[in-house]
Amino acid sequence: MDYSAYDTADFVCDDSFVAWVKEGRDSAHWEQLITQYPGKHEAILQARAIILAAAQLPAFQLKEQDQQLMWNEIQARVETTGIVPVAKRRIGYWYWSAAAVCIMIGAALWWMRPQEPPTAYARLLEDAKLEGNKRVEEVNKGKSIRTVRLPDGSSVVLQPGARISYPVCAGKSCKREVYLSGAAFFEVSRNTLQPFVVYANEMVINVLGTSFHVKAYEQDSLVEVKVKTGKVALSVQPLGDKVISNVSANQQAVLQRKTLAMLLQQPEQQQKKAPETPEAITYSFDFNDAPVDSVMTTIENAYGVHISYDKALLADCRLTASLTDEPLYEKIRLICKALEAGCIIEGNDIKLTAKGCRRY
Amino acid sequence: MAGSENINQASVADHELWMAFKQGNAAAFSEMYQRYAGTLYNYGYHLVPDSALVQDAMQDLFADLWRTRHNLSDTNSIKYYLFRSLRRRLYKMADIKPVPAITPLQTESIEELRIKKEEYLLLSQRLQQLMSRLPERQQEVIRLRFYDNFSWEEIAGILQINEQSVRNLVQRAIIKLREGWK
Repeated sequence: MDYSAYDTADFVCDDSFVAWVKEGRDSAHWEQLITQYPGKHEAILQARAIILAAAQLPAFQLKEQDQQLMWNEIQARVETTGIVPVAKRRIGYWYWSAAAVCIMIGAALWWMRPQEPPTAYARLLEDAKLEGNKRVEEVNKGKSIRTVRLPDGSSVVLQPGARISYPVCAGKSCKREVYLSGAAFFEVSRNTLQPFVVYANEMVINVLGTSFHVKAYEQDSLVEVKVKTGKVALSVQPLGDKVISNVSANQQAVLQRKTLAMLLQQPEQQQKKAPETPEAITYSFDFNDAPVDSVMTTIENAYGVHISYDKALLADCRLTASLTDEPLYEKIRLICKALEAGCIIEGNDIKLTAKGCRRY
Repeated sequence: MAGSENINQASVADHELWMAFKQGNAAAFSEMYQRYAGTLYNYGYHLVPDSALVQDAMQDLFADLWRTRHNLSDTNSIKYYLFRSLRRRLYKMADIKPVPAITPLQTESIEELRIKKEEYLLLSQRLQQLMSRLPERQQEVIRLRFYDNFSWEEIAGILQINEQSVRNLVQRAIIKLREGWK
């Protein structure tokens, strides 16, 4: 197929292009096309944006109550015209199977109601059969960030109000699964044998050893994933296990919860302004001949932890290390190793016992 | 074509549902209503922004469907059938005034969107605003194709025009929507 004469409207009118934009079909074909016809890049982006904007047009909702009232009215009208009520006739197989379908669909619809408890988070836990005693829940009830250590050594920086749950489990065969409500920054320790999965509202984030920020508030219409290092694979739970989108470092993906449409954004499309609360994702952990106290301050601010050490003793010490892709506890371990210091981590308090540092 | 799998799956279920309904199966009738009432209402309200009128038309439509079920022809897409019937009915019921640029819900969603200052949302919002200012017919085609997922052929059937005219409407709409990038 030759696309050299295609313009925005042609792409919009192309059914298989629409199927790609809306359902991710044939992505190999279309992604290849973008590289094959660099001149069509703009037309493709425009067509894509138009289709997605149209697919997400605001809808006029029929109130559940109205829908029921209308149905009552329809039935009343049907009855008065002398139709024999179906239930009194021979009840066939079809009736029962259709009734079963109705009940199932009704139950599914009732269950998928977007509002009220059970919340998306509670529903995820229910689906995973993680009752209270089978999981650990961490909630940040405070007004500042709080860092939580997961059994596998990964760290999660919880924004105020965020909560996570993960299965209680001992041993090496534990599933690395985290259920999230709210915003959090993850730094996942590498383990290719044991995938790490985050469930956040409808979004499912498959992690391949990396750091990323997730924003999934119950009341928000969007779920956002911003990747700092490495790569994650995203799927959308109601649509099954299929990977919808791969997100690499510095990219961001946004899921519209109502339509389940996913948008991938390159760095240049993202908001430039710094967010009001600096998130762990915005900090750089590449230290080049940096004074130890500035390293410590960065870590304290990024993770909401307190580090105590002998400031006078380490005043002249400098550190060169690239710690961007490491969980908090790995960072601390590496710093302590570099400083030849002992480290004790107790909750949010970290104690360093150093003997000073070598002069070079 | 890649896109047709899904549609076929839906229409198998639709086809069976329709057959059961035609044979007087009340559960199938109820299922049909539950399945399509919401999306049908949304479509109707865009044609005539009068909630009571749309609800009346829908009640008439479904009551008549049941009464005349023996005489109805087969269909693979109930949704298509319902959209076309509702449209005809609404145009008959009221001397329809062109839809004013859709504003009521639009504003709500703009409010919602304003919180996210992401650039793509701004673009999407701008495009949706441009869409709401398109001539009525162009709007309807865009909505039927991308919001309600009808094929070009089905849209032509709903609007009672030929497929080429549908495509022409889209072409003209796209020209205006491209202003979103200027």
